[in-house]
Amino acid sequence: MQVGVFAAFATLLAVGAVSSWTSLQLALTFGGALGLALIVLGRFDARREDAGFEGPDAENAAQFRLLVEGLQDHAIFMLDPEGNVVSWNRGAERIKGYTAAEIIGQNFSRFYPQEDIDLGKPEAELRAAVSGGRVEVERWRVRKDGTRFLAELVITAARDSAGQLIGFSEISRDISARRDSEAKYRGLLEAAPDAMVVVDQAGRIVLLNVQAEKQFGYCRDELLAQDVTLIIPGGFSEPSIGTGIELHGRRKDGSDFPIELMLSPHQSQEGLLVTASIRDISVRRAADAQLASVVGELGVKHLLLDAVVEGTSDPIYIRDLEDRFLLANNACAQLFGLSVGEMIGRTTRDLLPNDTYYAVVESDREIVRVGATRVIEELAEIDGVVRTFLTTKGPYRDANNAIIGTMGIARDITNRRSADESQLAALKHEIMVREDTARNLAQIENRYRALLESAPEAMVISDASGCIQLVNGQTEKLFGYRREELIGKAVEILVPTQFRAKHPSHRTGYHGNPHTRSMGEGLELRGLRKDGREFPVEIMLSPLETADGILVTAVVRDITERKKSQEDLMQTVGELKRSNDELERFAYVASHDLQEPLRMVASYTQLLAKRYAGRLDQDADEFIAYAVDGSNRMQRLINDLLAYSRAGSSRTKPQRICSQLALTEALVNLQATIAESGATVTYDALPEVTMDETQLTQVFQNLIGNAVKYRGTEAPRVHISASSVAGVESIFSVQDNGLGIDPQFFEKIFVLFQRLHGRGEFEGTGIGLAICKKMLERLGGRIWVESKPNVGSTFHFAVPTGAAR
Amino acid sequence: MIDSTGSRPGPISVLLVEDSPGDVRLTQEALKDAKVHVDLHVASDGIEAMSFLLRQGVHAEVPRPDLILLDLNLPKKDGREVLKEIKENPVLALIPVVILTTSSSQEDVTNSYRLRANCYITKPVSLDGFLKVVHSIDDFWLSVVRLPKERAR
Repeated sequence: MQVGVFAAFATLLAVGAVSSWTSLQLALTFGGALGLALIVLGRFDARREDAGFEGPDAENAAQFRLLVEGLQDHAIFMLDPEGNVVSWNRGAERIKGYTAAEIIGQNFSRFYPQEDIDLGKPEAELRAAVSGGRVEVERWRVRKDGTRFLAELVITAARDSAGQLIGFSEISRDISARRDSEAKYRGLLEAAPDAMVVVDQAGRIVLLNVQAEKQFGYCRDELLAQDVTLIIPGGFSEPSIGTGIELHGRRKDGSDFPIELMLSPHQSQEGLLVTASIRDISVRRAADAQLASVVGELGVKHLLLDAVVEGTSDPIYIRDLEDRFLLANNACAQLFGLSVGEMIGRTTRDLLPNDTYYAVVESDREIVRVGATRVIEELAEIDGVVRTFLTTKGPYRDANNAIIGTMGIARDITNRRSADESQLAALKHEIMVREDTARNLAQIENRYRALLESAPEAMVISDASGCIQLVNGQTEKLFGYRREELIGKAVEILVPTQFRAKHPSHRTGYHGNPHTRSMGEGLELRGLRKDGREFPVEIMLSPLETADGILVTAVVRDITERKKSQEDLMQTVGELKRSNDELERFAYVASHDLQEPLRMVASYTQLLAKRYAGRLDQDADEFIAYAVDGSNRMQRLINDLLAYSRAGSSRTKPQRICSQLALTEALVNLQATIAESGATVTYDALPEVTMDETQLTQVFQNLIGNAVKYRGTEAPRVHISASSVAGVESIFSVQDNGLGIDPQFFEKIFVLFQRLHGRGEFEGTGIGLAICKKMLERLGGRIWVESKPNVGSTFHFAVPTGAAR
Repeated sequence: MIDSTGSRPGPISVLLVEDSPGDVRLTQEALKDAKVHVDLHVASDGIEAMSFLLRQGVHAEVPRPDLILLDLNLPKKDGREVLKEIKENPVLALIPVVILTTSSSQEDVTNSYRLRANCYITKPVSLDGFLKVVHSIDDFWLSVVRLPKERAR
């Protein structure tokens, strides 16, 4: 039975031996088995030492011991029931710094920091393992030299077949590095100019960056653990992975916007995670359409080529100038009995015996020398059998057309040597055709570079001394330099002279505290072109830790257009405001200054009418009557114009008022009109609002006055009600049973001096609603109407909560 | 000449300070039906008004008015200044001043009373309104009210 456990565990550890923590954890679900296994191993060792134990059991144990010993990444050791160390592997020695001789027999609590020991954590964890079977935690651990590291550890209680506790096993691992790389990953995620969202297999959001918060209008906590369809209603599925697809994003406020999505899957402990890079393309749709199509094409081409490459039974490969395999398809790998993964990095030297190796290398050199594709018949001894291949071999070039290796497609023709010449010729032709495919493969190798190049923003990567290391094509375009003019230069070459002196100190400052941020927050940044012209820019900085120190990526965005359209907008706004002010002044002055002469005209025509009525002829009386009527109307229009130009320009600050009081006031003012028409006015309780009381009174008065004036056949019934959208606005409604309004006039009735009825039908100049509209809009409110001819109208107006403009 | 009621010697002297001839004529027309005989003098700007009141130059022989009807918007010297000067002069301060103007601005109203105007009337835009106002002035200031006796001659 013990042997059986060994075998099971050995298999599991063999999986774990690829140094994947995940696999090891899988193994640990059989933690009991492990504990037992280790205990048995301990006893076994003891027995062997005592009695020179031999046989099949000894062999199994030795293998197992080798496996445990071989695990360098994991500290694996046994404790007796009191927590004293009884076994110690090489991983434990490497990670914790003690040799087996130093530590065996010591209590494991010495791995804990003093504060944890004071809290009794070591004992507590053993107790927990006893009661729960095992404990899985992250803890700070102390090395022999006193330094600390973050460890992920599993303590498992081990029991014998009678259920008696015989000790514990601990498997632990230093995860400080993983923490670091997590932080780095997060940094990169936050630095990305696009919104990034990481989604698990169930479609739930597990991680997002600040751009995603901005783009969708949510804060982080509102999105975490939510289904991704909340922000991308169409969702995304695996077939779209790696390609640029256009979907619609939905903001928190419900509005949709077009997005471009790049998905990349990666395996993690949490299962398959998909990182979605989301770009709002509503603004730059035109520019991005090109990028999207490039990405799309590449994606399709990749799938296509992948299918071709993997679908063929002919070996296909790419080797670099050092003869190492950069790419090999399945057929190629199978030839040597290897997996594709195992092929990469190997050389033909590793794979072929001398005789055939020299010939292959010779033909490779020839290809590199002449830089042309050849079809070669070559021999390769594989597994002791010499096989004949008809190989199409060509140079493998980088983006700059420099030869950096060879690529080839080989066909095993060992069994076809007897085939006739025509067959061979056809075969050669077919292989020549495949050469194109191979060339395309080279292009795919460069697809990431192409993507970087087609990025819509300029990217400048410089080192700690400010020396430019890398730029993309957009940088060349934006700054007017060729790439080679920039590489190796101080990044200040791109900074206008007046800012140049200070720049190195800013740079040093950034390196002192490198994190992702935008440069010069709140400042106007400018870039300098080669031709001396300056332009406004927006710059995002992010640090990238490399073996050669910290590199800084600056993403430079030309905001000339944006600034210009902003300035245009500001100018338009300014002009509009000026012309509005002028108009208002004009209306006020005109109506004021027109008053005087008009009063003269009106007064004297009226005097004429009074003194001379019946004393001149009938025509004169009629003419005078028209003059009087005209001047009266003119006076009313001017008064209304004056009222309109004054409307909303109240000097008193809007206050919290009870709208009920304003309504009461309006009803008092309208008393006579209401009584005369036999109207019934009813109202609900009305809320408090922030508004000038006189203005609100006037709005009520105009609307109720209209409701009574434009009455139908029945006696007017007017009802006033209100509803509130908390924290946003209060909406008042004035409903009548009057004439109603044709929908085509819904806009027109609010325009100054626009009337729907002849003067013969209803009095008025068409000012009331225009004044209401102006007053409310000044406050940030609005007014609108719902109506059915011959049924009645309801005028609604909204007063914003806390309006204080 | 002694009035039958004995309350007031006539005629009543009124100074109208008004630059619009149309308004002057309208006022004259309205006063034609006045209950008492009104001796209406007209000054068409602020300087002339002060010269009249202070009896300077050509105005050396004019009577001190019993009532002043004062427009606010005047050429040369503004009605507001005229009002201020009148009320700062111990003799002229006794003469009631009725502001009769087109301005309906609350600021003008408040300011006029602050300068101790005796009343403030906005000229009605209609003829009937205007006539009614002039008749009210006639009724109230020239008939009902007792004016100070110290009319300097």
